[in-house]
Amino acid sequence: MSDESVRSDGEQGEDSRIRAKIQDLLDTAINPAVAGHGGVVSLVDVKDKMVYLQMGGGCQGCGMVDVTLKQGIETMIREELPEVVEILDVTDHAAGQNPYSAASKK
Amino acid sequence: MPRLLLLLPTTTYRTAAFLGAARKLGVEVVVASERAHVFQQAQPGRFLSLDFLHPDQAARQVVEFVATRPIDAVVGVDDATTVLAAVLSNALGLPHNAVRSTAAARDKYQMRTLLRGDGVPVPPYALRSFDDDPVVEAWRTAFPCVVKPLMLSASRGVIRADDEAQFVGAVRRLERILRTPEAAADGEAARQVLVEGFIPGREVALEGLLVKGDLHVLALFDKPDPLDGPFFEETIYVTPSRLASTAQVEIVSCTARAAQALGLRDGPVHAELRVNRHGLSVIEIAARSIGGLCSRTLRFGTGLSLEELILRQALGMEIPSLERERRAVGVMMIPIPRAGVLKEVRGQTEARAVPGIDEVTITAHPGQDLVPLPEGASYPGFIFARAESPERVEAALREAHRRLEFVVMAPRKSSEAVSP
Repeated sequence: MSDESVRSDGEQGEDSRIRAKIQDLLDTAINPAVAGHGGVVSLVDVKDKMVYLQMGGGCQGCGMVDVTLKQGIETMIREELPEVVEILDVTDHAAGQNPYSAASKK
Repeated sequence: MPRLLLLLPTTTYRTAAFLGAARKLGVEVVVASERAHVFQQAQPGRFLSLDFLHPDQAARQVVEFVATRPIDAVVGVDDATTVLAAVLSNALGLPHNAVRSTAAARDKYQMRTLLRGDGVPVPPYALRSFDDDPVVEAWRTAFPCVVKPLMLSASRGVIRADDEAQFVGAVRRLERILRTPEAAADGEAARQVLVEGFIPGREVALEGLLVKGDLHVLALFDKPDPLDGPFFEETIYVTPSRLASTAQVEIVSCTARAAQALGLRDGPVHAELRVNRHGLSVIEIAARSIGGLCSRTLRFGTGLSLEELILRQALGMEIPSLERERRAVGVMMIPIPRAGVLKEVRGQTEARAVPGIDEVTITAHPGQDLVPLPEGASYPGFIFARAESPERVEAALREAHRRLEFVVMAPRKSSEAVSP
């Protein structure tokens, strides 16, 4: 029995609604903003009100990605969807080839 | 909910650690960086862009900002922001170290002058200008010596010279490093050079927290790799120290005197000292915590991070414990294997499998230019270990490093150079 089949229709419907709203936020507010630094954010999944995001382009491996995620994206999502439990970044940041900001010693 | 102004340069290694600590403490954060964030317009209450090089202008901006959004503390996360944090705190009437104290801790010449004036042992030193002829300066220099910039951190631009020819080469090389736009932003300090006597011996680093002028030792790290030059690439830090307890007591006492001499009273300090049969020399005491990702080695009380301690103190919250966990811990700042363009890092799974290794974090990205010291400004990554003894920690770090293979392509031609 798959995980999906044991979840109630109500839970799946709630996740679908969150998914649609987040995709709209990504399309209309988040991605137009991060595009300024060559970045892109994709919605991987929403499950049990947990949101899984993937960062690409200038965001992947960027030294400021936590600021972008926690101060920016998360704040915007929570303002619209306070019922979201957690927002998780599933990006492989080590593989980022063109991060907008890289850490240095000074 | 308390509100914190966090000064986060876009190039800092400390972003995740400080934001994570703030979240754990339930603190609202306003992030101030030297460049506008992409969400600054959408979230004006959560971002500020400040000119880090002009503190007075930054202070005016912050004073205007707090008129509608009060701030409870200002914390600078690393070297580049310690003085600004003091200036902003002063402007807002928030408790903080004096501006002159943080400025002195940031400037190696001022620091040595204040320390020597208070009888704290420092290497013999002299201030020189790049306008002086290095050939002439070499005649009046005792060797071996170390040529240093006044403000860069983590051994950037630090070069040992054993004779006149090496001295001239070192000064000219440092001058080229300080001509880069990032370093030149330090103004007059980037036109000057500190020449100090080379102090042989072992080097240690003390991580401490000042509370109302009292130094609380958070960790004393040994640096088991010799730092004899010509460049001073820091690699392994291990705590607890294996030095004799009498030497450790002296190190703590000397660091406390150094902090007092600079007038530092609260907040983190990171001191580096040389130890040999003649005694101690304070190489540096900075009004900040340990750099890079090294703070990940430290856990206090029931698992508090160093950043949590710093934020708790800044916000006037209770600090449940300053006692570090009992186990030995260590970190290796992975040395740059050679100049070139990073293609990949192999052997990470094998390195993580070494007993005692907690984590291997590669921070350099594929395609990044790897630049060795003294010009280099970043680490390829970090290895973290935890074990029953400092010896085992050190052995684990060395074995994990041995298992890593950095595939590095030839350096780019200067016309192809890209930013990090």
